[in-house]
Amino acid sequence: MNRNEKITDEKLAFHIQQGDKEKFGFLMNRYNEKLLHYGRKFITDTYKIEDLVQDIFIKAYENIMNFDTTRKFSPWIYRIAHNVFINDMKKKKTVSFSIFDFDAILPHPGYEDFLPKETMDSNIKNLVEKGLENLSIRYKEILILYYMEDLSYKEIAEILKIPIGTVGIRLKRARDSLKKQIPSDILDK
Amino acid sequence: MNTQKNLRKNILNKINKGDLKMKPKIYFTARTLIIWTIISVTVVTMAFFVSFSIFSIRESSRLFLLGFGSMGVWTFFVTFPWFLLVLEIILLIVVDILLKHFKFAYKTPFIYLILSTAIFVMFISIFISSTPIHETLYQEVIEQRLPALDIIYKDAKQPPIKEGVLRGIITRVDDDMFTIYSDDKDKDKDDGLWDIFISQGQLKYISSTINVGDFVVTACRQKADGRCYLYGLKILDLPKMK
Repeated sequence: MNRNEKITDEKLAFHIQQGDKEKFGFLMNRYNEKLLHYGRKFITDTYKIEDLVQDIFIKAYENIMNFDTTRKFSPWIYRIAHNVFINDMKKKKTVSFSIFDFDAILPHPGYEDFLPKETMDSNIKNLVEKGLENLSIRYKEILILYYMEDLSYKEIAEILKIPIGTVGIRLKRARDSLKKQIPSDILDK
Repeated sequence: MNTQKNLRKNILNKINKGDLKMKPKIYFTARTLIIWTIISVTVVTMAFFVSFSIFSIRESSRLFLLGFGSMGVWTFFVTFPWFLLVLEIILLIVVDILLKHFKFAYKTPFIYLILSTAIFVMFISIFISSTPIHETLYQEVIEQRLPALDIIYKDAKQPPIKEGVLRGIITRVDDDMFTIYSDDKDKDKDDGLWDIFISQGQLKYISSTINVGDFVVTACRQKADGRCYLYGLKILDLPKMK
């Protein structure tokens, strides 16, 4: 196994900050497929997604000095990806965005605890795959981050820059909305 | 896989050729400093306007309107500096949006952020109010040494005459009226003699309360006969002469 493959993302980022530019290639290897996968949930055009993933890596490299190596790298790069994909959709006006995030205004203390995934609907991952099309972008993204990208509440909070309680309540609303939109015959399969 | 290799190669080429460069640490430090500077300036501006509103409401005697019954409360709301309040709310939202750049802020529900910023601004405005800054600036404007602030301070101590609020010294007391002379040395429209009429119901009480030479703030409402009838009166300490 290559020695660099054992190094954490944060350590690689630290080396890049110190001037070892080649290490950026390892980070690209690690995140390329993940980001393409993430992008496919928002955008259908494969070539466009590849262009946008390239933009994400360019932005990540340009801004790497702003990354705090004591924190996790994945939420940081997903934050860049979130901005790039959302900005692209805003430019094309393919989806509508409300300026104000009402979920983030009030505290949601009952939703800050991380729910074990296995205690929830076991089919939810399949539902997410099948029913994302008609969901609002806010709900769609939080479901993708939680179920597809397997990120924690804390990581999602960092990516979306919202309180942890808001992650919980939005995830609950997204799940409810998803269940409403899926026809019962699909739910039964 | 080929696409992945191409992407990696393409970006590493750009990096090695120097076409793609990292922004230096100083760029991010400077950006953070600029954001904090904008936040600080906006917070101080907000505190300045809040303390100015308090100064103006107090010095123009509008605060006494709250003790003049429902009519007084209504006049207080009519003459309230709503424009400044709206400006404050806009600035508060701007500050909180800027604060959202920082981890401590985006982790906090927006309502808590707004409330804590508002409380912080109130503390600074209380501090500013405890200094003579507004009085000093007002005097500078009145003595025409600070024309830039004329628009803010010129009428800061002016009672809302149009709404029937006057401040001055009682020069004459008759059966059903009294006259006040207003001269707060600012050579403006409230300076002069004003006749205020007393309705039958208040006559006994008011006549026994006021005397020639009293310094008062009064609120009256103009009726169909063209006379202004008293609905609120407060005797004040005579202002110290400068």
